[in-house]
Amino acid sequence: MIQADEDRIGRFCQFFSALEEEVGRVIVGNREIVSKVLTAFFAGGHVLLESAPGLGKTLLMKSLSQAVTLGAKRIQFTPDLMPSDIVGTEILSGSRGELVFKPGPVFTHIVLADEVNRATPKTQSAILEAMEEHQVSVFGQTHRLPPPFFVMATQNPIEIEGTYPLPEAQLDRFLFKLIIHPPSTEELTEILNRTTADERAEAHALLNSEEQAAAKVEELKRLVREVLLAPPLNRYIARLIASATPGNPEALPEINQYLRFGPSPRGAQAMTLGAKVNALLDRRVNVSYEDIADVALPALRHRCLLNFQAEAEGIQPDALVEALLQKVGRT
Amino acid sequence: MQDPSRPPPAYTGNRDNSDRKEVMIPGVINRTAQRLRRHRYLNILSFFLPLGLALGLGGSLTLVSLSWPLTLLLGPLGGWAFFFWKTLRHVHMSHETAAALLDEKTLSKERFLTLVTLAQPPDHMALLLQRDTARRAAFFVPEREVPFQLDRRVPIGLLVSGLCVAVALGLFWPRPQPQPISARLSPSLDPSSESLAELEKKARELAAQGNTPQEQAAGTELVALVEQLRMPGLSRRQKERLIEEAEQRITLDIRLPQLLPIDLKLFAAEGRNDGAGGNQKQDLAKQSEGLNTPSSAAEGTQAGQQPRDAGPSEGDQNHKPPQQGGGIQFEQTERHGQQQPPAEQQADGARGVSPRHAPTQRAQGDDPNIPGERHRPDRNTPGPQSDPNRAGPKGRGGGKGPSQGKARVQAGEKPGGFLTRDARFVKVRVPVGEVAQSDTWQRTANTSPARPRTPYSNAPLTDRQRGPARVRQPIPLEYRPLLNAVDDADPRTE
Repeated sequence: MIQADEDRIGRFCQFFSALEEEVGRVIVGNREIVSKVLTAFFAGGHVLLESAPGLGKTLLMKSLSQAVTLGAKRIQFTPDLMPSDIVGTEILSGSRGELVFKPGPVFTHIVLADEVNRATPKTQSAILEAMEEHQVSVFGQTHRLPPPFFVMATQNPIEIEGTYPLPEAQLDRFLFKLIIHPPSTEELTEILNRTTADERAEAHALLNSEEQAAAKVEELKRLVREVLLAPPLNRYIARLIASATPGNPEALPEINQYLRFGPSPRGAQAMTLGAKVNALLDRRVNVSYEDIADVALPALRHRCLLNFQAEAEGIQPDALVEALLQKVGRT
Repeated sequence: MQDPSRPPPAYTGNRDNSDRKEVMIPGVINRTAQRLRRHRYLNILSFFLPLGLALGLGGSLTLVSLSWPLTLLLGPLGGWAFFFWKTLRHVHMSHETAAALLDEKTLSKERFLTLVTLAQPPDHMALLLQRDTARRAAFFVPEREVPFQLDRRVPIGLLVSGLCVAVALGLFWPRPQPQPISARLSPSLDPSSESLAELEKKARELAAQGNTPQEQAAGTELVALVEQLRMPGLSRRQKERLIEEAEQRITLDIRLPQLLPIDLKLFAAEGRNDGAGGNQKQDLAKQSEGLNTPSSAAEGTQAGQQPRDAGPSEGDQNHKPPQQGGGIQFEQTERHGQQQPPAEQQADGARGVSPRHAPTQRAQGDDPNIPGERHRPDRNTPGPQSDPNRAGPKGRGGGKGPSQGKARVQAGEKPGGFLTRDARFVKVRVPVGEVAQSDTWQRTANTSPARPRTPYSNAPLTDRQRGPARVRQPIPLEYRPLLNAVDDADPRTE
């Protein structure tokens, strides 16, 4: 049995590395972003990408779906987008004369919700419900989404006009929030070489079929949840969350000063699952403090809601999370 | 979380335990935990034991020195024991601590910590972890990898303990104190005792060859004491009292050698001028002439202390030894005055200027043979009037109070200075020559033995007209004959 577990861990690491390599063939740079996207993918969460336009968000989604051999759909969110345009609706069947449910684009394995903050809150809530429940309800009928279900939402931070910023409760549904930084000069040169030549780089499918890929991904996701988490590390995660909650007795002074709301228990879950993926990638069956610290920033930055003073002083959530990691003791 | 008090099962090696559903904690964790526990005990002992020793030693020294009961030390010692016990009680090096240390030493990334703190029932992942940790712990030797580290509080405790002991020793260590005379002589107050003879010999040497006048005076005191102790008929209690009095005198910081020659010379000069001062003053003058050396002063002191056993004199209100006058009496009066500085200062303010003031006046060309000094109260004369201590503010000394006494100072002399501080008498000086030259106030020299009540005055004289009285209001002409007739008829006008 021990040998079998070692094999499972080995397969996980191998598949993860292969996915990174395949996506990396298309996406220039941003290895950390790719790794974190895959981490969220195997942890069973969703990712919110924030970047300027043209930095490869759609390409990342397409490359990932191609490599993992899972179906993917892209939804461009606009102000006039309706919930039924996402989850689907019932239409009258011409042949039988009855209402038939027509699934929306959300019925797939990988969904790219592009510029999710441009849709109305009603439409946003439609896909966010699907993200959390892995199901949609249309006219009283509940429809399960096919596992694995993974949403990559993007939002543009530079355009504020005509946008509907995601509510805090909906931001909490994302496992990670990743910020894609502009490429460096070398990366930009490589991007030009890959995208302007005759042959465009594409990710190859690592598995034969979508069903096989879904099964494999689900198996690896179960393996992630089997990773051991020691009680001291569990308490450490809880202390991190408590220290980031304003008004909590354990809250840090800067947290009380600059935060309006702190992370919810979903933040602790996100850190735990992300740390477990990191442990598996290190071929370990136990979580370490380093694993937790590695995922703390993407797991907590969008769950720390700044108050007016922090925004006035230009305080970023990343600085507060790093202060948490420095000041909260591990023992 | 595992109970740290529960002894974990010993690890049996690197064999595959996949068939056993029990997680074995490697023995290295047990050994590391025991080693850490020993280190902790050692640090606690190193911190508390020096403090306890310092507390006991310093407290004992303090209590013994202050003559307090040693039972007072039980309180601090009890507090020390309580904290010691409380600290020892909370020492438990759990396997979690040892595992964390092992993770740190072997870079195991919390593998050992996870293994020893697993709360869930052991599964295949735990077994995999156990095998992984056993592989990493194979080359770990706690005795080599976990050396003893002295807690940083231990040097502080040692330093504080050492300081406390040093301070206690420095403050309360019993030092050999000088043995008092009574302790030496009390066992052998017999006049034929050798100790008395030895004391007399040393006292005479001290009186004759002392380095300082104080030593010589002390030697003289001791000689007198020995002679008094040899007097027959003294009870042991009286002898002890004599010894105590001598001890009190000897320990005084007397400035007699500086003051005595001046005063005795003054006394001698006054005695010559008076012409009838008696043999005592003449003797005093002779003694004062020879008092250029401290030894002669000491002899005078010895002579004045002879009849000490005669009991208190009539005018002595401060248990002063009886005095027979002369320079010796004067000297003892000075000493007695220095025993009570506040009272003396108050008396000085009422008495005015001391006889020591006289040399300053002589230096200015004044005649010391003035009538006012002839019947100056003689302090050497027994009786109530001769006792300077009895001289009140209204006495013949002419003192009008402290303010007047301070006001009568010479030019360039500060009130309360060297010569006026111990003033006992006011030297009355009537400006005879100036008065005689005055054409407005004819007056002869004061040859009366009586001293003026107001000896000196700086108050300006009033501008009085000495001519016949003028008629302030002219009489009208029509009334003059009438007034003249009345004057002629009045027999009182004749």
